[in-house]
Amino acid sequence: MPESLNSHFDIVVTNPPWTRLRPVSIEPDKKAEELQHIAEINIEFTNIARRVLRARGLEKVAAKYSNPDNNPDLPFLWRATEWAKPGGVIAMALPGRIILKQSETGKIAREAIMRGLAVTGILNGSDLEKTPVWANMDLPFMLLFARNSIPGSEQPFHFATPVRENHLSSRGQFRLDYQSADALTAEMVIARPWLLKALAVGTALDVEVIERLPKSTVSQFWADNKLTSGEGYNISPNLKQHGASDLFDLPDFQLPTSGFMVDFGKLPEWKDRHNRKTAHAPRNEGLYAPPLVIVPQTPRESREDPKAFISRTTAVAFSKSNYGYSAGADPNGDLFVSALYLVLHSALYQHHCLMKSSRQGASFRTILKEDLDGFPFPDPRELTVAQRKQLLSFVHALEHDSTKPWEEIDKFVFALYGLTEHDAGVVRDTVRFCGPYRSVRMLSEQPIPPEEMEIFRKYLEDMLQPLFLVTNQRVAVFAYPTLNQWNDPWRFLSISLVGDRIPNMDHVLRRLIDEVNKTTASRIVFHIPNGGLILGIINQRRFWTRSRARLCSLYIEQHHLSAFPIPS
Amino acid sequence: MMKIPGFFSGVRSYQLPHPDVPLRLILVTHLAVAKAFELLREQPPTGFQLSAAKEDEITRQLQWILENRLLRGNEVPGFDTRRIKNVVRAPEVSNYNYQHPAKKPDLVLFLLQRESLPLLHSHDGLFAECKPVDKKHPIGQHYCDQGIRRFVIGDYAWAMRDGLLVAYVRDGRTIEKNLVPALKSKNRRRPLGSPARPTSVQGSRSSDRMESVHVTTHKRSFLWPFDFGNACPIRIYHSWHDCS
Repeated sequence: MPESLNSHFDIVVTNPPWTRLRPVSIEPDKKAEELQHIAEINIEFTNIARRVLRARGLEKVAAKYSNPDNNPDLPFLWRATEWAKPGGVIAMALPGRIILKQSETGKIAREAIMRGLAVTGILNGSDLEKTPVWANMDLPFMLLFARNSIPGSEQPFHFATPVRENHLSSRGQFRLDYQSADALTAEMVIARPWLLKALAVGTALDVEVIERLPKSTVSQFWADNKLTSGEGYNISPNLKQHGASDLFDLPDFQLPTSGFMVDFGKLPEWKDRHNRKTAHAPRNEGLYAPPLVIVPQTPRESREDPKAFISRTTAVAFSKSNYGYSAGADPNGDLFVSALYLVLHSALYQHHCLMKSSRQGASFRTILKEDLDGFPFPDPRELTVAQRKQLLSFVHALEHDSTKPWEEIDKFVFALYGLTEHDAGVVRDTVRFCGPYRSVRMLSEQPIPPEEMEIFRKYLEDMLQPLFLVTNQRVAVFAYPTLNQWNDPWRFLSISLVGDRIPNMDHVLRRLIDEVNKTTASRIVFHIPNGGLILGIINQRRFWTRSRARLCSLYIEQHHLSAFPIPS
Repeated sequence: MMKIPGFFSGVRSYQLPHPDVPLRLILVTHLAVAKAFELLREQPPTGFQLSAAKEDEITRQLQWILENRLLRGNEVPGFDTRRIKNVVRAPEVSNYNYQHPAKKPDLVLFLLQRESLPLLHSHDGLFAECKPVDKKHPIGQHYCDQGIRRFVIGDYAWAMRDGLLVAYVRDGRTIEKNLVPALKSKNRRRPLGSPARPTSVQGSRSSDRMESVHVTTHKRSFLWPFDFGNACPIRIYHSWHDCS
């Protein structure tokens, strides 16, 4: 586009190319040449962004900006700000990685967008990839809407994530519940780089849980104690090679086909397995020193599958498909690796990955080292004697018992991290119903079974009750009978003062369902004429968790308590 | 199916005033404060004596009990972390026009993020001033001029419709005998936003150690920032507790 057309357009709508620039040649010289060419292009990409940011007076942001990963999409966004008139509208289809990335470059790029462009809305389609909603789109995507101006620091924008429902998405449709959309500001997103990811998967309650966690992290702890961690060796025979003599005699880690234990003595030695003397990145021998936790990049779907392995006494080589945390440099090394091993098997760690990992819950099923590094990690030396004993017994049970004490492990870890039972409930619900796996999606879309509805009903009643007891009243929450024989699209609860009679609402509810189905809402609340409320929720298990009951209670407290006058 | 307005237009920067703090939650908070005083009377920390303690000491103890014990236990039903994020003492907040960035209300109960509402989160909570009311601290000068007035002029809770004043009562002071005439006095009526007579809140409990919660409404004369117009009146809830 010629410069003469700069500031020419009222609206710029684009779907730029997303595919990262990569060399296509295999032959080393040609590949090097292509890499050099790509690097030059990426410098130009960076310059475009810097030029725009500087023109907007954002010198400091421009100085640290670097176009992430040779991706071609962001340069189009920055060029769009030059094509559009000041205050004009920009709407773009972009890869979801822009809001999901947690790498330093990714965070800086996101900050630049938030500071340099008045974002007005983000429709996050990261849960809709590989559906007819966008046919043949295999990547998480987002639609970005913005005004071509610098945003006010407290100017909120809409952030909405359609929930994936297979019966809708298979028809190219999705539900966008405006009640679950969030109003966020650029400052909030910059201060919490994980916020968009967390809200894409969970709710405001998950954000509260994250903020309650200890601030110290695995990486800080490992660094403070001068311990070693990193990705395993990388052979890459076509890349520059280095001597790998430190690896020769080490057993070479392989993921066991079953179980949580590895017999390191039976593993083949590195030199025998690979039959070579060099590797592109053999890594420092300290990385492989025991005691050591090895964490495969692919955590596998089931809770029953191991997420990490301990080697207490044997130095073990492991490939770049794994991350390692060695505590060999510290006399408390056994305690450190045991603590790390245990917390990596907790529901809290699964929750952390869902909330913060740019990969988990977003197309990929792997974890990055930054996900592990960023997990909160209280100093194990501060555990009481009883806690240490318990920790070691859980580690032993994980490694040896056929039935793992998952519930007890989770409780122990929740307590260790200072979380309440309510926080724990949020974590459990999110892990159970928001995981990136098909099995989880199927589960979360099922109709609500009676026993889960009863848990929801009771939680809601228990949470509301104190607000009524304080005025010597009592509230009662009842499940409204089903309207049809089976599989109603909505289920209802009545909320009334004890003693009040709820009239038969069948006719009204049937009509109401027809109406609300047009709005795409997932929840409705309406006042019963002579007192009380009817709460309607879509008949899917994911909307009937304890966390959702808590959100419903907060919503009712905020907006609908007028249905229950306080007696004089 | 996409019927969401606003992706192109954004959200109004925030809404003012913020929604009410539910009255029932204020009543629960009153009971939590009463419970905290009960603990300070019956199980005082070493070296602490409620009847002799100064204002700051009482506030410090009060915040500690509310935040670390009551909010995290089940001693006062409804007063818990499911709806209240934390109780903070003297957080720095700006006044209504951001000219004074470091105003320090005695206590703030920050509420859990209220769903989907564009709010100023640092100004969304139940803001409380805590004042002694006794012989040494005349109610007009302290409770009214340094307490109520701060809400009226937009130092605190300027985005809210509700505020809380906790009185540390000694020497037999009562709302009826002392607050009512102070609010009626000619030279204070206007600076305090022309409040009507305090009324007891329906459903509020009292005991020989605390009065029922009373409420007064005060006009505010400042302008909200960003063209939101005149600030709405504020309801101030009076939570009086015996500290003798």
